[in-house]
Amino acid sequence: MAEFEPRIILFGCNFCTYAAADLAGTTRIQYPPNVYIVRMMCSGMINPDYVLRAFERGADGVIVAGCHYTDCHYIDGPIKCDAMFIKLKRLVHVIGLEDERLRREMISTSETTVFARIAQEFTEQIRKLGPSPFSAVGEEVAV
Amino acid sequence: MLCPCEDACNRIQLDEPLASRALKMFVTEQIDIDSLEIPEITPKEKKVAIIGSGPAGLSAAHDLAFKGYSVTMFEALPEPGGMLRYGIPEYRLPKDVLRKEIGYIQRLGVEIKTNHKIDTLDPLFEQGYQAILVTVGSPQSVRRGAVVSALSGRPGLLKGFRLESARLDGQSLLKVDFGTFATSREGIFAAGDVTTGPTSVISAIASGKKAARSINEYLEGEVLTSKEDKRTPEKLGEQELAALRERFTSQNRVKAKEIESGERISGFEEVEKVYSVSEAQEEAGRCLASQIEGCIGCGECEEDCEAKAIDFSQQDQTIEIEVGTIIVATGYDIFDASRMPQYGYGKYDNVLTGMEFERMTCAGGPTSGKIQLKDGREPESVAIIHCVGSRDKNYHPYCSRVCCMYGLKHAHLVKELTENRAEVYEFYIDMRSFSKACEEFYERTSQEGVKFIRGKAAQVTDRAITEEEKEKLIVVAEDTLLGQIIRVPVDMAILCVGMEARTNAADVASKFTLTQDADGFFIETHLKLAPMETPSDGVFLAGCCLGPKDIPDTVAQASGAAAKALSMISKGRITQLAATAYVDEIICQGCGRCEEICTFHAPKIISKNGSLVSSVNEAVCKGCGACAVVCPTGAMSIRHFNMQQIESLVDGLLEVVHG
Amino acid sequence: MNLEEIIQATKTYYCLECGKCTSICPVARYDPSFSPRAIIESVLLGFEDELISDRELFSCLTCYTCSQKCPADVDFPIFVREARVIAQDNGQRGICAHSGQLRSLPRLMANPDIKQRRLEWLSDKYRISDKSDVLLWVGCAPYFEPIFDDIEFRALDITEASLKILNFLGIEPKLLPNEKCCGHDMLWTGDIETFKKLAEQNAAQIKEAGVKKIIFSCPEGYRTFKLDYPSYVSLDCELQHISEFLAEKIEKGGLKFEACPEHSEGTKKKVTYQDPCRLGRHLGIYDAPRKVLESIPGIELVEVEHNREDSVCCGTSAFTNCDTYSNMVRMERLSEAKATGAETLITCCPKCQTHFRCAMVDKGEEKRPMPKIEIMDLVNLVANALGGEK
Repeated sequence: MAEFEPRIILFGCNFCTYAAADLAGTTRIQYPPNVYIVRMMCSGMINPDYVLRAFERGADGVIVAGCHYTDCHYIDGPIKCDAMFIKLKRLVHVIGLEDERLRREMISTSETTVFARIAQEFTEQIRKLGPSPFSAVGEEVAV
Repeated sequence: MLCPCEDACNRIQLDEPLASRALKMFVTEQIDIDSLEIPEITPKEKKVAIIGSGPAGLSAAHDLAFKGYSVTMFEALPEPGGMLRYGIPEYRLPKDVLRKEIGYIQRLGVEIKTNHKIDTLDPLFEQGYQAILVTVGSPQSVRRGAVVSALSGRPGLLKGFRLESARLDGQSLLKVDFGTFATSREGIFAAGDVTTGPTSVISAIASGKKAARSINEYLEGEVLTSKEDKRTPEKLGEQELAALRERFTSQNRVKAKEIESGERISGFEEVEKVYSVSEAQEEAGRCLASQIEGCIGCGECEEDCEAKAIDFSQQDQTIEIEVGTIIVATGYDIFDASRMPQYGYGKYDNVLTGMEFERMTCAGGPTSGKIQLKDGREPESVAIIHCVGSRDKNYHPYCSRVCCMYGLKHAHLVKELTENRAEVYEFYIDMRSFSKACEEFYERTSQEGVKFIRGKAAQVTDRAITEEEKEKLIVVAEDTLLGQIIRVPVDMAILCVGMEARTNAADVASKFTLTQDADGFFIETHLKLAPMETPSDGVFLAGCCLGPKDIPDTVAQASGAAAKALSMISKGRITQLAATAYVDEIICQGCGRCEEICTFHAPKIISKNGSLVSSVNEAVCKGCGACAVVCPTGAMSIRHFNMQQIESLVDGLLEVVHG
Repeated sequence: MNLEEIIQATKTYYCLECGKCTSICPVARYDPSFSPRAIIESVLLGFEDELISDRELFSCLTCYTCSQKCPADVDFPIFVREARVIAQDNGQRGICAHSGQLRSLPRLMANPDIKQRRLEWLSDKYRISDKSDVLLWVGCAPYFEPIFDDIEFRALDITEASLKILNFLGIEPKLLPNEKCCGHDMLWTGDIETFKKLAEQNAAQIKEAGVKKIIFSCPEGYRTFKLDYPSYVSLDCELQHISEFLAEKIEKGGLKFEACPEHSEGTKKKVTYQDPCRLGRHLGIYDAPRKVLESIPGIELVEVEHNREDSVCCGTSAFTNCDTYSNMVRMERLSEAKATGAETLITCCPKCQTHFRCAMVDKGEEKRPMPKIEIMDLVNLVANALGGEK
């Protein structure tokens, strides 16, 4: 049986997190290929349903990431993201997924090593946790 | 019994009102009215008749004479003065003083005809008077009954004037408009007790002066504009009082040395003696207006302005202007040096901030440009202390950029204005003289004999240890180049205070969607790539609100901001981001969550076809997506980031199956 | 089913084109592009493509106002329901409100391997028992809490009140810790696959629980179990809405109320009542809730102008196509409620309450001209009127 490879979706903001991931790539910093990045303009743009859908499609872990509080290109996006995250966390908790599968991070443009570290740590954490109950469902694409 | 001005004095709310009457008496006592110069008056070819030479009439006569009118007073009694002569005793108003005052008025050109009773007014018009002022007083004013006979037959008198009367408390008074003092007949005015019944000399004088104003307008052919002044003196609020009590210790009014009671009984000389100069200065110092900065609303400027440029009646107006670009240039505040008590600012008289010293050296300033200590002497030595409140983790960690240069400037000015008599000591940590010609200025200042001491001053104190430190301010510092602690006695210390963000910066920031750094200054979008720009397109920043800088840099930034604003306006159109929010107007219910959450005020709920919908101002929308997240119905979407697109992205990413 | 089969099954071909449906339809009253008659006409004329690709199909509230009065006995709501399955398959699913969370959650619940944490709100104020043969159906309440907190609606209040009432009557019901969504919204928006999975899992759990009776506080869950589940799964229990349960108890004399707490001597609290579509027109239950209301001393029921079979829907169904016309329907309904002079609007359905509360919230500077009235679920009113221990 093939070893379980976690599939992780990271929702990141264009100006900070995505830029950090990009820069990590161009500076040849190694991080696990398990993390797939979805680019949003701002962490405040992240809709809770995107995360629910990611889990539904079989993601084993999801990271909601954006700028630090004072860095946001749109000024207070991280605060809006926090407000959304509280509700999202509750929903993910009630649905029965382990709390560890959902994470909130703040990564700024220059924090390439931080990005790589988080990707690495989270992948290992999920690997230990095991596949999400939805992992098998990932192949069936409902509407 | 206090007079109206003392009653109104706000100091009464703290301790005792200002002794205005005594101060005015002090002022008048300084002048010998007999030898007071008559100013140049341009005569006007108009004549005014005044009936009655009491305080109302005399005041009016004085003012009208100053305006150039030819004034004749008609007095029924043998001597002029009315109540002033016949109603007030010698010890309160010496006849000698009265004679001098009236004498001055006569020297202005006013003719007083005594023993001249006037029964009817019409002949006066025929005699060539263009305006008449009736100030015959009221019989009830006469309390001592000395001259009842002269004023008997009063109802008849007033009837003879053929003017509308008014009755009050059984008295026959003349009816006037209390704003213009005009009676029922054109050209005839009335003032004083004849219009009000018995009042005080002060009221009579006031009404005489107001009547004179109206008469002047009338004779100039202008519309009479004066309105009755119904204002009551403003009382101070609780907060203001509390603040004032903190600042000023309670101090009752200065009492002029009164005559010993023994002396008092002997003659009719005035009981209350006049203030001495120092007493007057002390009492005048109690006036709150002399300590409060800014306009006290006395109205003098409005009266004096020949161009009539000042209008105190103007009200605040809120004006809405639609603009395409905004430049925020709200400036800075000075660091409050009293936050560093070790420097004695606010405690010692001769510790100044750099700004205060700047004002002192200004030719139009309080000392006309002379550098002087509080007691008026020129300082023999001046210390200039750098980095007050700057480069200091306890106050502001940043360098305030301009202080080294202005410190050098002040040093240079001291040397120049005292013609090199004063010693100047500059206490610095580093000399930051980086702009054009600044290094050269530093060198020049050094050559002028300014002594530079490398060491941040620790303290300014007045506790003298040695003889030569007595009566001086001592600056204590470590001279780090010598490795010694030094005490430098000086007469004056100038504190180079830094610039800080304004106290209302947060408020301004929220209005214009600006961000602030840890020190409160506004942040530009990018230090190098977009220096005067902000997250809101069309809002630019310039000057010290961004951070401390000198005038050349400020002007350069201002030009830059203006250029950016102009380039935006002149294009005639803007390039908008592709990813902006848009509304499905049928789905939208106008709940307003989008309007509530948007930092940039892009969505607004408007009324359309009878229902409320959200309307997004695309020029302002940044495409951050927050509105779409909170929209409960799904009406709000972001172009290029709509639900379907992101969902497909997620689906696609997870379709890739491992193993 | 294909469209031809749907037409046959719902007797759509009987349609007389009389237009009665459209004239009384609450949506058609406000939405100029929605007409039940026109939809049927276009289908019968063969314009299927438009039907299944237009989002209008999802604007129908499936409230049964039309079919109730239809002279030809066309079952329009079922027609719509089945047509939506085809629409879904072709990519049209209507506009999902609340970002589609309320469709994602049932789909997530359909996974047989998840172990939900739906009962963390339960405190020891309430007594439940694993051995009881009465099951209290909790429904979506634990999920509603985070989603609807900004309209100040806590659906769990209804669940807790239901528990309080049952405990008061000496019943310590069973609660299923891994209860799945009843699937109502899935069924009515065309996602039959998910619905089937949910129904099967629920039926299995109920069988394993061995209960004989299920009490619902939500009419949608109730209707789904009663009318829709039998086509897919077999359930061997009695099903009851809590209002029916209470009315029964009142009739048998097992339940007496103290005075309603807000009632002071001599005055009665005026309330009015919203007949939920699923309880009323779908299941024919009008009297039970009224019996309960009339039994509470200090409560005076004033009927709205359009009540019972004629009652107006709360404006949105299955959190789909909630639009400006939905708002207008709610305006109409709340105006009627306000016009009765009642202090409080009593509902029997957490969905109705959610929609009305949402309508009364203003977030923008422009205030919506929505009449404001206090809203309460029947069970909350009852729970407040229970008084001391029986």
